[in-house]
Amino acid sequence: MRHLNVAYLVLLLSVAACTKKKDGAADVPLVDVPKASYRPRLADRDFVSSTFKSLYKSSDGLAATDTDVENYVQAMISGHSSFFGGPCQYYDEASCSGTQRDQDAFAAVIPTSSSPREALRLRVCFTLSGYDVSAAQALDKAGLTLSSSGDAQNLEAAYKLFFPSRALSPTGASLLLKNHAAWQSQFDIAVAWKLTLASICASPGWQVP
Amino acid sequence: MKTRRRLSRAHISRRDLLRGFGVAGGLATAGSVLAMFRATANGLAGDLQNRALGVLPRNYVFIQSEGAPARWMWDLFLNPNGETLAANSGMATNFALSGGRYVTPVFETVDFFSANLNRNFRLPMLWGTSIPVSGGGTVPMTHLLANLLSIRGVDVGDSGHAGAQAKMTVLGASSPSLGGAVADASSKVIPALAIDVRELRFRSRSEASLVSMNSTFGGTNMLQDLFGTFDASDVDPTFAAQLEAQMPSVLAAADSLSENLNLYSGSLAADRNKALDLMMSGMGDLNAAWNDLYVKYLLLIQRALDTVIPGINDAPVGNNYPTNARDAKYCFNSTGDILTHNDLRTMLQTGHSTQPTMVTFLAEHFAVAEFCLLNGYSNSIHINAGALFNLHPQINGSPAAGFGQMFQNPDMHFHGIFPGTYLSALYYCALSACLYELINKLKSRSLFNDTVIHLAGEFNRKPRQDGTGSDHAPQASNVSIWSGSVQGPLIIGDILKHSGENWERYGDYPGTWGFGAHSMGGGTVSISTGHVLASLAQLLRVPNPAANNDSLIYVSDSTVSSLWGVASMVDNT
Repeated sequence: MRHLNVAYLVLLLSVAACTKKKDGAADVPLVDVPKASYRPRLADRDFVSSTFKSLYKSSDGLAATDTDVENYVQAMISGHSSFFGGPCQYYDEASCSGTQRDQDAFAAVIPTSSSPREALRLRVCFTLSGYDVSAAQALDKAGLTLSSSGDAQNLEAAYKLFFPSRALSPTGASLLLKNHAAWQSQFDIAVAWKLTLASICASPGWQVP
Repeated sequence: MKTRRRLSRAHISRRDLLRGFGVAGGLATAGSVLAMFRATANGLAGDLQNRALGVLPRNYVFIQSEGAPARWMWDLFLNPNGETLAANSGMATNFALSGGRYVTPVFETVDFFSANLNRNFRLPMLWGTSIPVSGGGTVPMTHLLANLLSIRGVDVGDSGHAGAQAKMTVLGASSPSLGGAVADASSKVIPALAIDVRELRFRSRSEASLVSMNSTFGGTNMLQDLFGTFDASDVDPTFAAQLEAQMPSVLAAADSLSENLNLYSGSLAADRNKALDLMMSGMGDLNAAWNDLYVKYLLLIQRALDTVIPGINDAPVGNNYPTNARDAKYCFNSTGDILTHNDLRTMLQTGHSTQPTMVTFLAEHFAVAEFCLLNGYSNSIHINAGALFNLHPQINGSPAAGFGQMFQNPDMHFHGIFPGTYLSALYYCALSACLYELINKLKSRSLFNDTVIHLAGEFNRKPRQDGTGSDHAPQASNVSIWSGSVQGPLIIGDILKHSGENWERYGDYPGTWGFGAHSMGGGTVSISTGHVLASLAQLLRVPNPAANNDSLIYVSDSTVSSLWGVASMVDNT
């Protein structure tokens, strides 16, 4: 085995020594060769839309605005397979029918970041966090209301809405606490919670599975 | 035409949403409220300044000629210096007249004097025609030659469509693609864009984002699809005003929450900031912009397809003996169906009431490219050159049911020389008209010197001598490049007079059709994809992605010149 390893090393060294440009051109150090890197892989439209729907719709699914949220998220996220990727859901006729299906045939299996994708995501974040009803419905999933205290425990619970399996960093916790207090004093506690929700939602990291 | 309903509009409007949440009134756009958040500049003015200093890459437009249609009748210049071609009766540029009809396919050329270079060129017959321009009128197609760099005799090294497509803009798994390298230095809202490009291997060093889209039929407003995403008017205006006041704190918290994730990437934040930028500044009237651009290119294409070209369609096309006696020179599809039009011109009908002949997505793609380039939204754009569709073929004396909607498949294995020559001529007129319009627009904004348009199919084709079609010829590929920095026509690449060097030479594919001569590497190799990419990289001002290959051109401040001398034909008789 040791001999094989030595032979392999010698082979590698000899290959490296023989690496030359073709066509008689001078050698170019390999370090000058530009290397490609890869963009972060993100969650697909099914994950993103499910996150939005599960948070901003009512817990019992009976609120009058649930259909609005459902349709809005469907339009903004599921309907944009070019940017959010992922297969259409076979049992979801709206995302798998007609011309939409043509688009879906070419949707990325593992999507990556883009400005249009971020624009759509931010619009949903800002729109649904900005209305009392949908903001309250999201906070309800964390056992909170628009008048709950903006303490560390409650802010961490809000953070967990979007980052359920990740710990809140001390820096993040500190910023959320400081911002919430400032917003409460400048506006009111409901606005402070809506801005807090928008901040957490606007954080791009929850799209990284 | 059918219009696709945009889900975002069709399912729920902002007014509906407001009503659903019990909010009335207050329909001022969030775009204006949020305007003061602008975090990044569009960068167009800065780009122009930096380009003038030679710092930034040139704009890159890749046009994929998908399916690898034959190009010997257009931009594959087989005998630009007047060389004598070895004949292949399966290759034609036009038809010869007999008894008032076009019944004999022929390969003919026209001579063109280049004032740029003060010399004559011999070009395929089609270059003798004119192409429509926007606003009416025509110009000689030869206007496209003034800034053309043509590389021929390229060995792609892959005879399959997908593999060859993947190599058009990138070489190895560890190299950035051309579009990726341009995007690496881009500050644009959309660092790179691809529409309907197959097997695109986009790779970037700096994790630049590629927006990849696909068209649907019916003139869908692609600007709305792409840039309507930045319309922030659905945000509650009261909340938008509060966001406005607190955006720095909101973004600081948002960044902090993702900071501790190892997977968090700077490109995500960059994309988010660019998105915010456009959401705040607004995009203007995208419908008006689309109508202007799309209709302009649509009309150009229609007019180009209606062009009367001597030797092509100024007389009935096809022999006048009983059409059921026609052979595979009139074949139109892989099942062996023979066209039975008395006059092949009736298969192309731009004025058809329900199925007008058109080129798939060509107008859409050029409209988006022009919009993005002229407004500085993207400088790495990949589009598809499309193909004819809504043709009206007649089989066995009657319109082919369910066949008229079919595309003219550019992979022309079974396109007999009659329909192949006739349809290709008109298709290339349409493509030329679009190219000329885009180039003119770039010139009008002083952007053409800093733009490179790269047109490539997977490979070229080898014509079957019996005129029944053509097959893949990866050793005979050609690439056309337009840029204001090129004084053309600059033609590079040696080709063989007698097809391939092995069995093809005396087989079914004789004659001169662009097989690359082994003039490089001490006479052992022909031009490869790597040489083409290295040349394009130099022109684009990006690192050479092909470490083992040199550029074929030398690019100075004011000129582009060949490092391989005059393109020649090697007589391997």
